[in-house]
Amino acid sequence: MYMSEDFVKKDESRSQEEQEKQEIISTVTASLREGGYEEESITHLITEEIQPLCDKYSLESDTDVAIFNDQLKKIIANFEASAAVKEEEEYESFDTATVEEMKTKAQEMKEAYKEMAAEVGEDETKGKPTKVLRGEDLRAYRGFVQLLGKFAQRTERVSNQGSHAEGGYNATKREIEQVTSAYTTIQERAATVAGILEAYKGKNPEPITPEPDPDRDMEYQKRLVIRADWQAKKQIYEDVLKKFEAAPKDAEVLEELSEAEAIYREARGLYSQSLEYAFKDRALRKRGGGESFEDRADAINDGDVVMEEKLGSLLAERFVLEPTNQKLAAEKASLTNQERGTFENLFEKVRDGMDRHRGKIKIAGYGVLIGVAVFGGVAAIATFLVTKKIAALSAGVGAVAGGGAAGFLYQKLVANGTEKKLEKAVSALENTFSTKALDDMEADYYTNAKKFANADRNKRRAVTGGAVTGAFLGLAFSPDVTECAEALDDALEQLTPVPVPNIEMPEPVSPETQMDTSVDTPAPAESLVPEVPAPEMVESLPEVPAPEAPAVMEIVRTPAPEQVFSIPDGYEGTDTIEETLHEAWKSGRVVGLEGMTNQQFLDSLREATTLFRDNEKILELMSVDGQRPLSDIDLVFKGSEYNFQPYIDYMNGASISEIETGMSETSVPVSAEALTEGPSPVVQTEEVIDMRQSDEPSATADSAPQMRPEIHATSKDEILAMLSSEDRLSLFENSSIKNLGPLSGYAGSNLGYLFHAAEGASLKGLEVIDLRLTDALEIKNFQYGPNGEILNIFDIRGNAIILPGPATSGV
Amino acid sequence: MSQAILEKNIIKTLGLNTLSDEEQILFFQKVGATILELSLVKLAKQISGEQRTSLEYYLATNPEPDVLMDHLLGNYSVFENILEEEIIAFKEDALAVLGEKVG
Repeated sequence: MYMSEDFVKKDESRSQEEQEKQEIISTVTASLREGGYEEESITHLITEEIQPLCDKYSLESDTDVAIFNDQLKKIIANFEASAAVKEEEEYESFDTATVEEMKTKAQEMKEAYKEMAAEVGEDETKGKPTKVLRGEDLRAYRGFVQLLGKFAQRTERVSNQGSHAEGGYNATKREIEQVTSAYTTIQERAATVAGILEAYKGKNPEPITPEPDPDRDMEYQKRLVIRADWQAKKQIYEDVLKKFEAAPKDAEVLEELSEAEAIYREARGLYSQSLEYAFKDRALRKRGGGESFEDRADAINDGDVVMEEKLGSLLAERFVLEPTNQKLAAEKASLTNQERGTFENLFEKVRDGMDRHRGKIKIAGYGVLIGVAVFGGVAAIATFLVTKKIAALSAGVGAVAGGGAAGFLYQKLVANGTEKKLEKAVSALENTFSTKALDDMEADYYTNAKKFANADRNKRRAVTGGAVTGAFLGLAFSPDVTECAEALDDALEQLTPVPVPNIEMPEPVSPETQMDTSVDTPAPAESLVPEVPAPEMVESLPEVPAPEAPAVMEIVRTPAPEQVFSIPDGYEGTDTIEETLHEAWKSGRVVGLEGMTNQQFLDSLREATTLFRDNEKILELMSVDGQRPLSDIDLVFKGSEYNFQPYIDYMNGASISEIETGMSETSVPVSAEALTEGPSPVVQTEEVIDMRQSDEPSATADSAPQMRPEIHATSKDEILAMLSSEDRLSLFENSSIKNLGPLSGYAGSNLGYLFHAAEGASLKGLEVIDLRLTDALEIKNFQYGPNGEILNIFDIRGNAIILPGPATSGV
Repeated sequence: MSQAILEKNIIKTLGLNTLSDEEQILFFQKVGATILELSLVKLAKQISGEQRTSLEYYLATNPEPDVLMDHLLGNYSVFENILEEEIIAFKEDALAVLGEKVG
């Protein structure tokens, strides 16, 4: 519609340029492969260095091309100087008799388990372990069978590699280790599997019903079994599917696939039903229904409708908004440097307008206006936007004229005097509103994408969305619908009403009010005693460097707290905090709880969860810097890391108060003196804040040597007034602002950006920076040398950004 | 068709009507901010070098956001088209994915 001829040409030119860059990458890759460099190193080089280089330079002018080539040469030269060349594999001698003995014994084990497997089950299931066994038993059995198969392949390969000069078979050191290790494992597992098969000799397992058990612990255990069974059967199905893809004309494999699919579907149906029951049970408990499940189920009718529509918004977010965000990322990536500069400038200006009104309504701005226009329906976008000024959004009264649905909607939502309520609610929502459940749906969508291979993308997504909706309501469990039922597990959590903190909306921030709301007895600003909450940080703080001039740009970071585990990406569970710790404990990764039995562990874990739930201090202690803050024990996020130390402490006998106070009172050996010396040690955001909060100042700025640089309480405006615009830019372009977390996409733009970010601006997407950081930045974030030069700026995470040499700032 | 979809209220279609006011605003903000940002990116790409220089000068005056929006809509006719196109694309996608299934 608006694409002019120039734009079309430009697009074509860009496309050609992209093609050239891809050819460069291909050429470099091929050349390095020929050079014998490790594939992993090559991939790293391409993705981390060469691709960014391609993104950075447009190759539009000869100058750009020259710079690009120069940079590329340097990158490759550095790589060649440091990268590892793939080592030539050298054969060793693998004793022939040992290999043959292993093969014989493995064959005997195979025959033995087959013999036992033939006796498993009764009637229709006789001799079919995959139908009889379930959950962990099935997984153990399948694992053993697969391991035997792989072992046979490996030993066969070794046998075919010829004789070594020393008499044995030719084998690499790695092959010898693999075969030997596998042989040991097989023998260990053979005993376990024999026990399992023996237990099911001539009988079938007790059926499990999907209905929730009145006993909560039993219910939990039962759902674990159902889920484990479903996961094991899903894995079997996927394994057979791979075999089928490799040999689609093999009738035997096809039969095996059909059987595996039927078993998988049955397990999935059971799991889906258990989820449906659990959902209804939970929803009704929250609604205060009858005591029995049946009583509560009778009262669910209206709730389903609401939940269905809520799910709709989640789907919209996931399948519509997220692709739009991806499109945005792609568009940004395609900008030339000049275009990017214009965009950032534009975006900054528009965003500044939103920020300016955040004190009244944080999310006010054109984003909301456009959102209202999108959903409410507006015929003339420009007229609507021009009429509904941003300033009006914060007016506090519904005085904005406007007709039609959008006008009404606008008034209802924005200009009805509910700013404070919105502010609180939005803060809570931004931390908890998630489409985690839909991640799983999408994963399943891709798993089953083959089924929709001929459908267009939108249609496929619609099918998936519809299936999920149907499954969610538990109205039908046809194969297509149940396809996505597993995603409901998380939907149970996601659709729980979002807790809205019962606090007043923060007014425009001042250091004083910050302190007043956060602590009872705020320390004076001079009390620079870093009291750091987590004990793990105590041990990990780096040594304070010598006070020489900060000649090298560096960001020193505090290592992650100990006993940190991440929620697995593939997790399907609901109580994932508990399950993650349980899994970590079972695999021996938890320090301090080794002596417990499984039952003791589970009992203690459950008790801790009950006590920790809704404990804000504990949630805060468990949050790991750089991750999404933990706001709810039961609502966690795939891939996020959490510090489980509070759990471990509690399970080791510590009381809640000991955990809370013990962790917060641990002192950190970073004194004001240390802070005022040259290149600074790490000071985390919490530390900076805690400095202000400490009521036991063990060291103050007064104790620092007089000639050492001091940290002044300086406001943003004062600092800005001291620096010229060129200096601001220079300051930040020459500093190493690489670890600003949410700010990384904007680092280096200018000083104003950093300040705006610190003021709680929503910079990148919807990431919101803690308002407390304003305080940290304005009061403590500048460290001056004896002549007033800026030595350090602490970034929003409390890390020291060490500037190159003394002030170019003109201060 | 385009105009019809622009005017179409899709709140109920997407099940947003049963969300709380706060949730609705958050969702609107997410969508609106993304579309606005996308439109700004496209504007930056589509204006000529001369227009870009002119815009840079203008931005250097630190215009108020309302004034800036007026300026963009008033001086870069392509911007309104971009906004409309992005909104239409979003609504079409939303209806294609969810329109017949939810609501």
